[in-house]
Amino acid sequence: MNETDLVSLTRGPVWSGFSQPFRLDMDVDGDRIVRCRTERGFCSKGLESEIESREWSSAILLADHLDNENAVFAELVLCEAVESIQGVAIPNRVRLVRLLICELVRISSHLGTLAAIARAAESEAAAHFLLRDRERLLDLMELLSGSRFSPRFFSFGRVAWEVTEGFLERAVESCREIRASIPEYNDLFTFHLSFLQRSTGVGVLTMEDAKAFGVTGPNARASGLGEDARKTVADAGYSRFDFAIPRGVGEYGSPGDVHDRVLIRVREISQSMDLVTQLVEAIPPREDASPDEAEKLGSKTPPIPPGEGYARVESPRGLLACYVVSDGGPKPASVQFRPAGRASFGALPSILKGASVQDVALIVESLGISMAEIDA
Amino acid sequence: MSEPGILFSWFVEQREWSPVFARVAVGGVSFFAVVIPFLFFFEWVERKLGADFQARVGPNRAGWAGILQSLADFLKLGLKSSGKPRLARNKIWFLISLWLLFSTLAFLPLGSIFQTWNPEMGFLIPVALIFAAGVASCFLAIESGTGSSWLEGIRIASQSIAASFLGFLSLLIPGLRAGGYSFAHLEAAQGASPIRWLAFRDPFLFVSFLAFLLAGCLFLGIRPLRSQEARASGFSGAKLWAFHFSREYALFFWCAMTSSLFLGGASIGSFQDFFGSAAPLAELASLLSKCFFLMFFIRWFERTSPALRAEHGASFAWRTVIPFVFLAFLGELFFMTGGALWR
Repeated sequence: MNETDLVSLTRGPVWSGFSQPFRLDMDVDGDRIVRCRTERGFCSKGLESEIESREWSSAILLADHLDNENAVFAELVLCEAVESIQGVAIPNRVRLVRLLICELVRISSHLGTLAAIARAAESEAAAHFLLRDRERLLDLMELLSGSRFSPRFFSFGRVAWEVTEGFLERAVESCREIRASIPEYNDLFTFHLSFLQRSTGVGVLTMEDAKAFGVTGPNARASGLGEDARKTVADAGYSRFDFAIPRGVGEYGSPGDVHDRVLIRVREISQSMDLVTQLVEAIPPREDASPDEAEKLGSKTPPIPPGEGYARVESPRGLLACYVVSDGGPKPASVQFRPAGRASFGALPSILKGASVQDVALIVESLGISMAEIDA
Repeated sequence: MSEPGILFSWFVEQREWSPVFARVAVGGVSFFAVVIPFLFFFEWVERKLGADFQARVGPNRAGWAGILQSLADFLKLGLKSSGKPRLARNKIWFLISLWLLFSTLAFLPLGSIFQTWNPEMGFLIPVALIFAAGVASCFLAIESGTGSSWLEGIRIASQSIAASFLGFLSLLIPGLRAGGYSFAHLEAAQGASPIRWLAFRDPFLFVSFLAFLLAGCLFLGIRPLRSQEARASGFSGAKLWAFHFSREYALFFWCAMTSSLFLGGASIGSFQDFFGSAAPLAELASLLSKCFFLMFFIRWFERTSPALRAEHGASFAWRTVIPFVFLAFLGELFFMTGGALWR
């Protein structure tokens, strides 16, 4: 095919199709993208430097702002990195409560991403149904901490306070209600004929590209990679629970296309709801907690000894890692995050090459990236 | 209905106006007395429906249950300036598309009150006008001067060409059955009862009914036959309102045409005697209720469907629907002639 005169198109940094601010410069041949360049940094807030300039007690509060949608994962990874310096053993109940909160937020995050994809596909009803269900989980977060997005619930070696009365029962009940809605999402969106036509074979991230760019999380799993830090990290705490890692096989199109990324997220929601049930059953009752554990729950942050700590967790966007250096002082010497979405964002020009201009918003949203986290 | 309408006769005979002025006046009266109130009411219903789908209350501030919200929006947007200045030729294409679209008012088959004339090609002329308006809006997009709008113009063109071919092809079948394309022919060919509507007379006519409706949706870019970029019209203020209103009017007009062609139109059959002197109003109510049903169905489908790419809609029309309609046309021809053409 002969290349006609290329037309330059720019989307962003603020465009109705993107839910995140970034700039996309495209050269298009007809309707097809020949090449594109991305520009980021519109959400830059110098978060790591900010954390380093404050005392340890403020670090978790600031880490919440790494990715507002998934604030607890930034809290968790920072806590685990610091705990590896401290060398403390985390009480069983604390660990399980942390995992429970993380799984609830994972469901909430996936629902939010699916709603953004539905909006990009102009499926208004599906988007609102998804957001309606996410509200149940945000209400739970509010019940837990008084805050819907930034709970500031985790703390070094413990959780900040005990879960509220009836929280565990409500978590299971909310999951049951959301599970009942999944067939509704599927009818309206996931397996709707129009959406299948629109999303299969579109925005393909091949397994080779996913490996080359270091993509992790649902995007990598949709491309056929089976990596999940919940399985691969030995002390993640998930070893005793029964769950499988779903992988994209291109059931309706090619592996790693937009539809696979949607499907993986829907399956992970279902899987996380199973995990929530298992976790609630595994959490020891409060009165059964050992005196040591009860004491830890209410204790203040101890001084952080000098040393280096590194932790990895599986956030809803992929592998989130944190490297912390302490010099024994009141402030962290160094804090660095490895944002989960940065690799997916790096792969964007490769994914968009050859795609239709009409699909740009859909492809971008299907990657579920957070510019707040990437620009941090 | 085939006779000159009551209002037209009044202007010509009582006021002694020329037929041209009388038609303009009837069009104006029908626009302000019927079209605007109906569309404002339908927009309120549509917004309430959309709100219900999304677990919202919807408009509830202006008037009882927010029924005057459309009027409030008209006043608000109509008083705003249209944002960034545009090229003169852009304005011209905008005005041409509006003029072509609203000139179809002269052909609105609203029953015996507003009937103005009954040309031999009565149903083909407004459909041609609608497609001409589509071509004008295509140029409007192309002339907007940005890469995005140029692409949007090409997409509108591809959808309009597919929709016009499908629309005219599916129009041939009821015309064949009725023996002509005038309002009188279509009125004579069907009655008030659903079993006498052309849409349900035989399978070929039913196919053409669905295809004609689909052509309208394709032409108007109604979801799922809509591109992602279609919403980026670039209008604001009064122009934005005019753009939305003209799209809503085009849908209403298309549904009125579909009702008249396939669903008995404004006919109330033997109820004429029952209603007596109020029969013209009953005819109007009959047509508007059919339009309401069709528009409601289309909007309900739109609200629950993800959007396709522009080429999907055009491709579906060319590859699937048009061959079907062509076969339906041949089938109707065979059915009408009793196979005489093939013997």
